[in-house]
Amino acid sequence: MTPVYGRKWAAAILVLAAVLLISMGVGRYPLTPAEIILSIAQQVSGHSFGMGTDAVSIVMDNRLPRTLSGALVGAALAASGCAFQGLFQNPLVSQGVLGVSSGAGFGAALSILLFSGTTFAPEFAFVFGLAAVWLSFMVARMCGEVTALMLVLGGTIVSSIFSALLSFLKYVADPTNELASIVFWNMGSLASIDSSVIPVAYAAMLVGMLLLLFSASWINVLSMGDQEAFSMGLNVKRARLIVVSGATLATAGAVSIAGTIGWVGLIIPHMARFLVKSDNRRLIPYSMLMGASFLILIDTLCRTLTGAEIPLGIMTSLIGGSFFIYLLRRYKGGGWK
Amino acid sequence: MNLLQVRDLSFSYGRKQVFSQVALDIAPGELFCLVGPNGCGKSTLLHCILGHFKPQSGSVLIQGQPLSSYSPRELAAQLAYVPQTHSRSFPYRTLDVVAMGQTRSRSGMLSGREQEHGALAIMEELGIAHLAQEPYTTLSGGELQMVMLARALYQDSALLVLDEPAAHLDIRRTQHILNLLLDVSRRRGTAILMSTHDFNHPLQFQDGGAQVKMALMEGGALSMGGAPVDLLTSGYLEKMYQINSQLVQVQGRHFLAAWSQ
Repeated sequence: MTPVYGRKWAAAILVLAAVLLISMGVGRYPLTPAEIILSIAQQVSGHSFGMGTDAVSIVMDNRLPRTLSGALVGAALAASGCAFQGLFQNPLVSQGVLGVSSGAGFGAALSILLFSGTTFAPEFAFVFGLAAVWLSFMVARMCGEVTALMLVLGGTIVSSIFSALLSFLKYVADPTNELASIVFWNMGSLASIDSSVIPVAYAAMLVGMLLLLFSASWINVLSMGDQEAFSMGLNVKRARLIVVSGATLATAGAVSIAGTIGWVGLIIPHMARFLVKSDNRRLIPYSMLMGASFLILIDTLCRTLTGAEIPLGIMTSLIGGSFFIYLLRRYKGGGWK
Repeated sequence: MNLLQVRDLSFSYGRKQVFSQVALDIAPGELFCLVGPNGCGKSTLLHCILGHFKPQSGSVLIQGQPLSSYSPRELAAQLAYVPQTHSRSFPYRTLDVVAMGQTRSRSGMLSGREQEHGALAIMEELGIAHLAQEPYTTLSGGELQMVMLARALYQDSALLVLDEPAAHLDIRRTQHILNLLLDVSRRRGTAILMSTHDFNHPLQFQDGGAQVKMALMEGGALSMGGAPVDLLTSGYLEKMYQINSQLVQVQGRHFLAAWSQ
């Protein structure tokens, strides 16, 4: 690893650490970085470091879970975006390409109608997200050999079916409360994370990301095309299944606690490409760091800019889009040359 | 024992028969040139041999074992592939692309310095080491072809399969690549199977002192292979392409001159 890369990695890690502390510090009850660290230490060790119980409670029950969730969701979405872009040799796809987002969106809406509330939305989102990807695979397999092209086609079909079903649910939903819940859930938010689903969602995201980190060099080889990858000695079907499973688990876990958040899986890999180039062995971990920082930052803005929460999905697109235009101008498409 | 043995191989796209009852043998270290008109099924045959396409009937044996009995990793130790065209998606560093040739020896985790050194050594051998740090999306078509060859050579397989390797190359690069292939077969004992449109390629191999076989593919059938000089003096071309041709010698080398009837 050259020194230039070393500095870029150090910068990304420092930015993430800074963003973590800042995000946990700002809010109606401001805390300094020292207070945050002492509060966590006090809770973990059991010894008193002179922090009041209200500060410890705010950090441990509120700020830390939210910030940590933001970090994981951002990292998971960015990593799966990289994986899908490499897998389909297309820099314009993101984690929604196989239908996981629209499946999850439909699942959440269904649970809101069935149980008149968002109690079971994360579970439904998770299951339907996975089901949508499985269906995409089945559609691709129906047409014979499962190729990257057939998978994208299957994903497009399944996505549009779930989008239509979601529209139908919105149409029949009670406009006074259910419709608003469905719309709000689909705009994404970290405001109301249900702590009962955290273990499953965290586990799914972590396992998914580990699979992607482990299979990063396979993604490089897969992006050479199926035939060349096979002739270089890669078990294409198995490698692709592992990559898709990792990306799907990571996305489904993220979507189940945060709702559908567009744009992160598309834009973060591109930003990371400006800095560390295209090799997925570097790109995926770097995108994870950037995705984590980006989402925490956006979520912090969402909850502090105005008195009411701004939905996360709106802010990721607004800020991410503008920043991406700036990057393209600054580097003149540099990551692509 | 033959390295590659193809028997009674037939392939069709739906109802369209591409070739039938094809047989061919390649011995270790042998150069085999597959020649034939556009669309005669040369590429399809290569894809069947490589295991990319599933033939309707017949067998492909590698070292006496059926193709299907090999895992992808084992197969990659036997066959390496240089595609006719390669679509580039992401700007990987050229050195990393060449290093992918050793995918079969990697567990899937980070590649070591050793792999980079090996890849760089091959690139030096092919005279393209100066491209190592460039993004491979910026290379010219000819440079890309050399990179694909470097990647396949780095795979270090028993048989190298090339689909019209000189199709995008200028005359200097064509000579370079033909000499490289001769050199590879001589020094490493690598067998080579390549398709080409140019009869001068097999002739050049034969003049270079290699053990060369040439076979013509036409109308869904593959003729029996033979030495290029013998085949091209037998009046065979007149029948197949309906053209006049004559083998000429310049400074002890054979060339094919052809004109229409």
